[in-house]
Order: sequence, then C-alpha cells, then structure tokens
Amino acid sequence: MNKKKHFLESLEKNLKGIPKDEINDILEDFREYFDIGSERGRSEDEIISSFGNPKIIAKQIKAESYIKKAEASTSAANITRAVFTTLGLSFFNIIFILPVFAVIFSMLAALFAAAISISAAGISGTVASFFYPLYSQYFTFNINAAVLIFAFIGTCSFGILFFIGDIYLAKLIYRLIVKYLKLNISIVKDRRQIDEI
Amino acid sequence: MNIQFKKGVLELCVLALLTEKNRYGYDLVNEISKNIQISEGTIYPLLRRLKNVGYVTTYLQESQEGAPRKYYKLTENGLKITGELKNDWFDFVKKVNGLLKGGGKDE
Repeated sequence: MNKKKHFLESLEKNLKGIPKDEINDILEDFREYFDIGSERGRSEDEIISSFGNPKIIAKQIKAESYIKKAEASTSAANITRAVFTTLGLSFFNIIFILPVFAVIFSMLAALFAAAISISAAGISGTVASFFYPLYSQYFTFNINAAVLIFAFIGTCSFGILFFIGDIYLAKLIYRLIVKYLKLNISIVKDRRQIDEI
Repeated sequence: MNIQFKKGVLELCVLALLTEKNRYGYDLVNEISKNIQISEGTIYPLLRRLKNVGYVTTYLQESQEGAPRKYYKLTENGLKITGELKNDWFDFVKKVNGLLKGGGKDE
C-alpha cells in the first residue's frame, strides 16, 4: 500500500507546474492502472517496477503539456518554458543563450533611457527658454529667445520620435525571439519522439 | 529486442491496436507486452500526446470488475494518420530488408 502511495506522491510532486486538473487526471490514470493490475493478480511492487522512474514519466508529461500550451498561445514566456523544460537547462543554454538575451535587453533598456532623457531635456529646455529674458544678463552671448524655444521643442520631438522608434525595435526583437523559440519547438518536437521509452 | 528499434514504433503499435477496437490503457500495454517488452509507465505520456494532437478521444465506461475505465478511441483523423503511418512503415521495412539481404539491386 505504502509503495503505491509513494509512487503516486512522487509523480504528483514531479508534475508540479502544470494545471491542477491535468495532474489529477494523470494520477487517476495511474490509479486505474494499479487497480486493473491488482485485479489481475499482480503485486504493487511488480506494477511499480514495470512503470519505471516516476521522474522520467513526469518529465515526458510536463514537456507535452508545455508544448501544447506553447502551441495554443505564442508568447515568448510560454515557448521558453516549453523549450527549456524539454531540453533541460543544458550547459549550452546557460552559456550561450542567456548572455545573448541579457545583452539584447540591456541595449534596449539603454536606448529607451536615451530617448526618455532627450525628451526630458527638450521639455525642461523649452520651459526654461520662456524665462530666458530673466537670466539672459548672466550669459556672455546673446541668442533669440524664439530660436531657443524652437530648438528645444525640436529636441523634445526628436526624443519622442526616438522613443517610438525604440518601441518598434522592441516589437521586432520580440518577434524574432518568438521565431527563434518556435524553431526550437520543432527541434523539441523531434526530440520527444526519440525520448519515448 | 534492441531498444533503438522500439523507440518510435510504440506510437504506431498503439494506433494499430486502436483500429481493431477501443481499448483502455492497461489493455494496450498488455497487448503490446505480449510481443515487445516496454516500460509500462510511458503509455500514459504517449496517450496524452495522441489525445493532444487529436488522433484519439477518451470516454469512461463501467467495467464488471470495478471502477469505470478510461477508453481510448481513434478519431477520423487518427484513423487516416494510422493508415498513412502503416504504409510508411511497410515501405520502410521492405527497403531495409532489401538492403540487409545483400546490397543494392543494381549490382
């Protein structure tokens, strides 16, 4: 009795991460198998040893579940989970893919920061220009206040355009990442055929 | 039997068994085990996959011995795919046999 319970608990524990009703469904399948097996005179020990390692069974089921989810909705997070679960977080993934992602994300962050800084400089400059006549006496050079205002409005517009450009770039990179991960999905799909037994 | 041979054909065996009649998980393993030794736990991941891709559906049916059992039934698409896979398999085996029986015919 204990061994059966132990097997099912181990299976349940290793299935964590997929929907609860799916886990229950799977456990029900295995309970059915135990029941029929013992009806036919097999001992629990026998059945458990015929099942093989619950960790491997759970891994196969999880991979299948994540792939199904990734196919239903193509967000990068879902696909990444499917790919990484199936491949296992291999050495290659950690060494190669993570740094590439990190570099891309920090570059994007830097571009967004630049766009925001330029816009902010433009806005504060524009506001400051209105008060130009008040402190123009402190400057050693003279400049037309209107020119100053338009120059800063220009800076501000440039910053905003820059920001919009960044958004498009981010969208493009996201699409490329999804495409890359989808390519992995097809590799993963081939692999799960092989992983059987 | 060589484990490499078993990989990949299990799915075909399950589909072929389901063309005869609807079966439950234990029954499928039992039939396959008569001929090929398999790790029995892998049947459920396999059946879930076949269900996810729409080759089979399931339904519960009472049994005389005890609790209701989950039966697996081929869908129309599953039946079609099984036919194609079987043809592919026979074709493949014929070619491999040809090779094993002494080289190419063109010699």
